[in-house]
Amino acid sequence: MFSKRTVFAVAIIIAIAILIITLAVTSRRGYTSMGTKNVGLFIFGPFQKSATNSLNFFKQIWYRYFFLVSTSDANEKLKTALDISQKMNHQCLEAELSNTRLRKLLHLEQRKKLKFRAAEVIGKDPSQWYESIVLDKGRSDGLRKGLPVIMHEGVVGIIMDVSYKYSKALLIIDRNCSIDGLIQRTRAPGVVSGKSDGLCRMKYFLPKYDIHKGDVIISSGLDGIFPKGLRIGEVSEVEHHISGFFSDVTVIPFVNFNKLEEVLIVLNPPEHMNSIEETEDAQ
Amino acid sequence: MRWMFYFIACLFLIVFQTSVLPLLPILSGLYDLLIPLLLYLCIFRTTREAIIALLFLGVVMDNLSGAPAGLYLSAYFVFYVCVIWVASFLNIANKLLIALIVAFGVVLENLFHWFAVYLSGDHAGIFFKILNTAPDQILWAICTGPFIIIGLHSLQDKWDYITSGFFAEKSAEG
Repeated sequence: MFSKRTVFAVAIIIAIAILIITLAVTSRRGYTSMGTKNVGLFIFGPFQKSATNSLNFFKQIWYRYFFLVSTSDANEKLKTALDISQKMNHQCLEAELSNTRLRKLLHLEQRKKLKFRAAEVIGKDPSQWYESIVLDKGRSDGLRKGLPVIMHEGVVGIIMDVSYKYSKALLIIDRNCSIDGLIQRTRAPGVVSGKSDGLCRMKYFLPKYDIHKGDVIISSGLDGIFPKGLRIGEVSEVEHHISGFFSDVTVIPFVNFNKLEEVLIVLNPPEHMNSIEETEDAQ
Repeated sequence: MRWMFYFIACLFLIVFQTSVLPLLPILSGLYDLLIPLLLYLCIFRTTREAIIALLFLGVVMDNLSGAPAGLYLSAYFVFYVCVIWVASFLNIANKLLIALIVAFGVVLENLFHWFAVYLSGDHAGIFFKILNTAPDQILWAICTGPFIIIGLHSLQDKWDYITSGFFAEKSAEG
């Protein structure tokens, strides 16, 4: 009835329509896994790790043995910075001790000790539209979907896919990543999520709250993923709209995502702490 | 053994663009290097080989990227259909046309990304994102696309020559 060519053309049109509808559905849901058992991470992870290790080896040789011109200046600056840090560290220790004493007095719950796993970044997102990284730790190292990824500078992202030896994390500068945050100075709440230009924005921030350029934003701990008090970024721009409900707040993350090499994964974030403690008590 | 060649080529290109390129800021505007590989398969290989490779590449890229599921698969499939359609009335083995088709592939993939981001509800800033990324990528694609395809073609010829010689020796020994 129909020619072979017509059937072929119709089949292609139907296939394209199905793919586009699937894409439309998955795009609205934010990040969704392909459900293909992480075949990409499983096959390409070892090769990405080898390539990264080899490049880092040559990079280290260059920076440690050849490119030492600015080392002396950097050494002086670092010594001065170390002196200042030691003084601040001493003050922090004193504050922590007094905080512990006061908490005991008020019978408040002590802060839980976080368990970390260090991981190396072995790959980055192939597209410039999305922000994700591949890590060299997986299910065998205790990682699972939804664990927070951090660095000493601040929050990095969330684990999104895990294979046996490797995992993929979505960075906070990705549009699909959101964290419940608050302004450290005023404790005003908002939701921090990624923007399209390597920055973040604070959504649902009410204009009635006091906010200034340079204010530090920390995690509130209310999302059940990130522990409270982790540094996220610094306010760089605030726009109050007369007609709008919320203010537009642009945030510069503390972490330099272009130079991300190692990260820490929190193995016992707030939502899992109770169950972990129950298990430990039972043991 | 031909599949081994495709796998090695795919492995090299994926590892290069996910693990090596991020360490080279000068090449940060580079496009998806699997587009020339796909075009090479469309031009010089059979439909069966091209479609199997397309499915594998699409699934792997969707796995490694933070993009919504199926984005790369859809983009590669539509690109493949467009190339086959153009090949039905034009000789696409021409170097200039190859450069233009690779650039078209880059534009098509960016459109898919734009479509997915637009549907996710983020309308602010994506126009500027396209203006920032697409021109660099198109320029890179026009300059390097034909060379990658020529390189793949000559490497495959050498691979076929070496492997056929190896198997001929084995059968002679047997």
